[in-house]
Amino acid sequence: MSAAAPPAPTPAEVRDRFRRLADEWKEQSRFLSNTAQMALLRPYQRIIGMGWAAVPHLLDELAREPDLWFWALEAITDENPVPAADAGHVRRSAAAWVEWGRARGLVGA
Amino acid sequence: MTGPDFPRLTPDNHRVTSPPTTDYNCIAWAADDTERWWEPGVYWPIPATGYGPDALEAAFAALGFEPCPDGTDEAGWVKVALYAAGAFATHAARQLPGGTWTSKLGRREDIEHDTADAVAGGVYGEVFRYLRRRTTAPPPRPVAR
Repeated sequence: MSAAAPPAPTPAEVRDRFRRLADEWKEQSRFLSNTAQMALLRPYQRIIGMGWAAVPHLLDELAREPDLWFWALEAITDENPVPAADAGHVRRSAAAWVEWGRARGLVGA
Repeated sequence: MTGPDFPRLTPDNHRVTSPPTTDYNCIAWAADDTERWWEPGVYWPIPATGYGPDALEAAFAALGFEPCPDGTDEAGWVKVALYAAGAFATHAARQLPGGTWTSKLGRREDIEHDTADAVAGGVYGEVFRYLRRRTTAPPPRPVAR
């Protein structure tokens, strides 16, 4: 006998969970430079675990404040819209992802 | 910038020298780049081999740095200190003319600190290698993905 899946979270619950995890990750990773170490922090892993439900929030977050969310976005979407010439450039990478999201109606949704 | 993350920093042995920014990380800063966040497989001087101490040392070797015994100030050389905690390379600091050091602290500020050891002992673990390069060395070669 398998356990019943929990009820699907409401949009407000998803938003609040993302916000809480994002804030936790920013606090825990504030002095880190190694992106793998940052991505393995529990709040970041939990955001990846939210799957596509986290993507609009990640994109809104990037539009508001560019940060190292690219690992999570690539992990969830299996995409990388950042041009090779902009690799490593945080603001340009954020802009490329926001543009990618706009084209799919995922930004400000 | 003291406390458990930096148990060896004191108000007297470091000075904040920039505002916080996510534009670049400590590895970029140690390599004199304030435009990019250096990351294996994304923006790195050599093909990515992981995120550990060996990968960080190999990246600086590709920039012309060679191992040296310690972080003493040597005329004609610029030095970097590489740090690790467990399996992760955690930090790089660059020596300034005169022998003090400069570090970018993750997404936070740059600081000048009196010794390389001053930022060790906490979130960055310990220095595992000192490297040096002639100050007359040519600029770093282009960085590729």
